[in-house]
Amino acid sequence: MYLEAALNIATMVSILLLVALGLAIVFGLMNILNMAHGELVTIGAFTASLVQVHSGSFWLGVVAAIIVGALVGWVLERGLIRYLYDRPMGVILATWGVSLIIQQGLLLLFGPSPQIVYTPIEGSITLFGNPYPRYRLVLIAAAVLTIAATAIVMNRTRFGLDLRTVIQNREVAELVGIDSRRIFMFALVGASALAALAGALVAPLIKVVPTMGADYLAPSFFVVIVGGAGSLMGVVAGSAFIGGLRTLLDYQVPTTLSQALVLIAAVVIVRFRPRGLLPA
Amino acid sequence: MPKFQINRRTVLKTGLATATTLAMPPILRAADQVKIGFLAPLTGSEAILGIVQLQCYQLAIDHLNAAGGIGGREIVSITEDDETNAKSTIDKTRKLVAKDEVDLVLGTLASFERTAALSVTSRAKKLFIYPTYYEGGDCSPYLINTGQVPNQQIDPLAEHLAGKSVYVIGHDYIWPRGSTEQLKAGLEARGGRLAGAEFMPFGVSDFGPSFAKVKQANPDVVAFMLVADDAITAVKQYHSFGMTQPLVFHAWDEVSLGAVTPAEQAGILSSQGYFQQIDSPANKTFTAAFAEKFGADKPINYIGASVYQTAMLYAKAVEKAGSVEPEKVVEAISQVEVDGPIGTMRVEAETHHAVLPNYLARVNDSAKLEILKSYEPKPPVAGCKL
Repeated sequence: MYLEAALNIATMVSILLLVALGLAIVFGLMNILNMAHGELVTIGAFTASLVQVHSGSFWLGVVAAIIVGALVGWVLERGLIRYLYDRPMGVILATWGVSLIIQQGLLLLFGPSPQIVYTPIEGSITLFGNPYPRYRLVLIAAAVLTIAATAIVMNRTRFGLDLRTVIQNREVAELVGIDSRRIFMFALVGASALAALAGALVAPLIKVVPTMGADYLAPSFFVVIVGGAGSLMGVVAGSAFIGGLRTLLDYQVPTTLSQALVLIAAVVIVRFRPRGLLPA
Repeated sequence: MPKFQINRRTVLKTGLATATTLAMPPILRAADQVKIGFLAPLTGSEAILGIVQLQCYQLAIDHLNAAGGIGGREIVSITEDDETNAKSTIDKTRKLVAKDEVDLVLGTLASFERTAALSVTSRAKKLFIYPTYYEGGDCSPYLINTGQVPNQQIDPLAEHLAGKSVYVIGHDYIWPRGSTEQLKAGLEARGGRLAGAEFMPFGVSDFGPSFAKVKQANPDVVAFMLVADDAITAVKQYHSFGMTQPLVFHAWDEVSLGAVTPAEQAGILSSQGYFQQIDSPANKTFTAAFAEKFGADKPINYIGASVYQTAMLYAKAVEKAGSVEPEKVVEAISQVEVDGPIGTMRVEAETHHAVLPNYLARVNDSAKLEILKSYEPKPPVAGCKL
């Protein structure tokens, strides 16, 4: 019972962590309000589904999702966002438009019916007498690996150092010879790939429909703001707080009430810690 | 010298012309037409079902117009998307009623859409026909319900589950809550009981905690009363958790079959007034015509077939009434009946609800619904009086 609750919490936290990670980089670090973030998650899920249907391999679909997500991110940055770095309101409007175009485009192409995704690892595993779906354990592991890999890139590589420099002070970064536009482009491409990866990984658990992204946009912002914009640990803290509290409350009170209670708790936190739980 | 002089003669002339136009009764403008406003969720979380409603509606209009319209009047159809939310439903119903001045508002799917549309049509005294199964309890002079109510759809289920304990997971609105009440009463009358019920908001992404509560309550059967997209998530996760209780999901239909893998849905028990495979000449004609227009791979469900047959019933009522005036059509509609894929459809004058059959069906291992039991048409217990 307690173990299952803990695992359910870990699953919820992992889902939030995966979908919010890309946003934490784009919004939390680069301060770009990308309203099409949810649609990148959708694209990842659709790619995984399509590749699985045609090749039979879910993991090939995950790889394809990362590539497609990166490509879409690249087109988005080159075609649109790079002209709008100095106009935050412009970015909101433009990316919101893109999100609508992607949503309706997928609707026209694939129709409103859900896409089928086969769970790559069927069945459940018994842990201390409790059966638990195997794929959920894979998802939790994938979330841990993804955040670890992102942290390594941010803290241990030249690119991470450059990105952090650009975020701290763009002019000085350019003075010491860092091409800030190039760094921003790679960061956006990476964040988009992460969002698509999230979509592919959660696809076996949830409905895969053109409008699914909308369900993940608000929680992603929520996680980043409560956790603390500007730090990777903030995303972990935000996901753990929101996912953990919600799942725990789900066991005690009706789900409708638990969602409201989590929102109230988040408002209280932001009131007393305006910069989030673990700010940069 | 001004070009236009306003004198007594011009004033009289223009005034007379305007008065003549205004005085023309609307029936003269549209004597040879019947205007139907069709309203369905074509986007949003119920779009999968709304599309089938629209297809079946288009097929009905095609058939009626090909046969010379309704009593010689051509059908003019205006389709609107209610976006699966109450606000849009109200906006679009207002548009159909006030701007398009339709003779009939047909459609809507979820109960919150029906309630929203009815709030507009009842005040405007416009005819509104709701073709979808629901929890019962809505009687109104200008409302006709042609879908099943719980004594027709849920009671057979309760009878099938006699003596068992059932745990319900539903969405948090009137249809799941009302249907759960009816299921509970039906079970208790037959030595069964409701082991528990949980109602969730829309957009839930993890049903793990709910299934943990189910395990604790340890019921014989689990019943879902979820709609559209979230239902897909719940069915996928139910399978992944390896839940041992059989799953009853009376709203699971032909459209849902394509949304999850065969293994994820095998064994689900459904209860509806129509299934695509019903072996009757009228249904064969209907499914063949549907396949010809939209493709043989496109699913038809009860929600869609009911729209088709409801449009046919309305046409007969207008012919009988010899008018499109709501009062006359309402009076006539309980005096006619129409045969179609659902069997014989007839509306009772006392409640404006329909006499309808029912079927229990189970999803087999290759993701097909197999009819287990069929029930003769039953008069509705509407839960309200006019």
